[in-house]
Amino acid sequence: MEARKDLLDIESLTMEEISYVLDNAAPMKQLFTRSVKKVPVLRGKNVLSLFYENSTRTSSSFEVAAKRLSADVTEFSVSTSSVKKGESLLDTIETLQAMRCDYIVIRHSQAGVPGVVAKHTRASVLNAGDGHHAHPTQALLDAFTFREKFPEVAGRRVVIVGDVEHSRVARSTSRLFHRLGIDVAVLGPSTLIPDARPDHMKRLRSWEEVFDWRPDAVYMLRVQLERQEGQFFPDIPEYHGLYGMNSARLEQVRKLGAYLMHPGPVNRGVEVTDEAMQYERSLISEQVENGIAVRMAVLHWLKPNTGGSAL
Amino acid sequence: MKLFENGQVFQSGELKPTDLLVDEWGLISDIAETGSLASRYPDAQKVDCKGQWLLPAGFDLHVRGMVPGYEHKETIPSLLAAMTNGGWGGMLLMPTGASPIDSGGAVSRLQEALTAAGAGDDVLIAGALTRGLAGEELSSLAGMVSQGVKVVTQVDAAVADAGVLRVAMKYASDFGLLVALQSDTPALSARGVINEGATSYKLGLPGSPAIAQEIGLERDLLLARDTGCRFHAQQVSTARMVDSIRRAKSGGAAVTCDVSIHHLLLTETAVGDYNTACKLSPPLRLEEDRAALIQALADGTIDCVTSSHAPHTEFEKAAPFAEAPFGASALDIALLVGLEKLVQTGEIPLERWLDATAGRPRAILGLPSAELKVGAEARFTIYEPETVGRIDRQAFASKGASSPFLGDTVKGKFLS
Repeated sequence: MEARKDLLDIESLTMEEISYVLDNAAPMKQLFTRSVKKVPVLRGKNVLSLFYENSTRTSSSFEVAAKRLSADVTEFSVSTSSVKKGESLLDTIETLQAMRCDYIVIRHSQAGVPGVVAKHTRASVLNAGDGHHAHPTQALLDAFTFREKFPEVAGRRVVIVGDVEHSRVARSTSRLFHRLGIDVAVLGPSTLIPDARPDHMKRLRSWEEVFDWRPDAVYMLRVQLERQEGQFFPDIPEYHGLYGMNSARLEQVRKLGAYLMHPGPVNRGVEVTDEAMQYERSLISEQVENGIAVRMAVLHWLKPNTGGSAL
Repeated sequence: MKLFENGQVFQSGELKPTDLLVDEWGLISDIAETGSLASRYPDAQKVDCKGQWLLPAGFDLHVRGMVPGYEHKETIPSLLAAMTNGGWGGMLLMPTGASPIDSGGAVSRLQEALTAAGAGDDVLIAGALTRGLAGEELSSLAGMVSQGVKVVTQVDAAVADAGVLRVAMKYASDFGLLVALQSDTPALSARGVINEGATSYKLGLPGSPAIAQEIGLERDLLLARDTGCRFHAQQVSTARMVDSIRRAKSGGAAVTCDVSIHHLLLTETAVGDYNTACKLSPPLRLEEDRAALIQALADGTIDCVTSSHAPHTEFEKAAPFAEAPFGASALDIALLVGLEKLVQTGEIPLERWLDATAGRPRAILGLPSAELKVGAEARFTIYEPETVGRIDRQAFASKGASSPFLGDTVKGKFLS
């Protein structure tokens, strides 16, 4: 396996690399049950957290992951101010270079930005979500979580419900699931299910079709209330009525013994009701916990070009 | 007098081994078979054109010159140098400078600057159809016409309001102006930065659907018919747009159209890993669209090929994809890559290619032809089909070098 500097998307990963990260997340997770949860593998290394879009969950997950590996974490606060002041991306990169950090965790509202940063820095760049493009650590933690339940994932079925069009999670997670041999289907209104999606995303038209298809997990996407430009459905109650996880549908899910997944944060009452949040086979909090383990595995795996060994 | 010997001269539709004499007034004064002129004109300065083609110089109908006002992108001297370097003898400048070209005064100021820099009569200025290209009020068309303007356009800012466009077309028709539009439906395309399709999905970028341009073109064709205005469709990019043009032409409409070199040679997949050099307006489309464009160029449904030159700085093009400006620098290289990839491969016959890059553009603007014939002004370029070169930064006289073709090798070269 060749050394890899950056994690930008799922597509560019080899199967060997995917297995490596997923396999290594398991021992990381075991650390969490110890009284001392910290290992010194990244001691002396600096992780810079650069979130151009607000996300407490993902940024804390990366921060906890980095700290459990004994790295120093710096938050470069990019409130929209420096963007508004007209500092260009290339100027920001120049500044980052001068800070001599080893890893840059970046989230940006525009697709492709982490790739531009990666090209211009020696540090390892971890894409923590760019526009509608990719969210590779989310995909890896989803796969890790699913694999904990189904050691043999090939041939299993996952249906993704909601706004596929504007979701980087749907793009990355479905791509990774497909590569692992999991059958992926999607459910949602035509306005949010792109015609030009990859062939492996089978379109289901209703919850009836979903239950007939007998999925092993139902992956509810967050309705991007804040990121949508334009109207794609009339209103929230109608969306919830057609696509939300309500009690009746939850009963069907329970009958199938299927798991419930969600990338968080959940809009309660929009895509998932309070009752569904209590579902005994909900993996939502496990996804959060596994996120830390997977991000530790990723940080441990990537090799910055900043001189010296990351180990 | 200059005697161009031993070359292949393009005349009456084909290359013929011929010698050609240009007199001191720049007129072609004699054309005869190879070797027959040297003895008759012993005093003429001889230019050996062995292995070279003498072709009518191109006329580029779509050049976003960026002057005046965006001199960091392009200056008048760099623009004129790029034109000559690219094998063009003339061009039509789109109103893409910082100040709008929407009055007679604005035209005459730009014209003066061009003349001062040595531009000849074959560098023309297109005016803005609406004031500031805003699509709301008519520009001073009569004032611009008095300064020699023959074409009015909106560049890539389509007039969203059909009522405004209808009035503008009617009014323009009083002056015999050609209205050249890149048809679009902004409500459908507004946020798009590449073609809506598999690539936009994969990259997570907002797409501009083909149907935005297709609806726009149908609307504009109908309005042109209704108003009796001469209409030229700029930058046809999809198979269905080709069908619309074909239908309009067979119905007898006074309509012409063009396609850019990029749309003839590339598809949306060229965007690859967020390559901003391939961020174009209109966006690159699909392979079936490209195939239809080639077919339509071959059969003459598409009249002209343009460079759609749009120079930007390296820094501007290094921005995140969605923020980077639209357009590629192409004035220097459009004819070269076209001759190599379309003509030398046999996809487009040389005669049709020269008609599309020189004959029809000049005819559409009412300019004298660039044919190589006795008595005509010498408007030809010398092309070396076998010379292999590289499209690197040095290949561009333009200040902009952002191009999908940057880094490619190219067979063929223009001599200045």
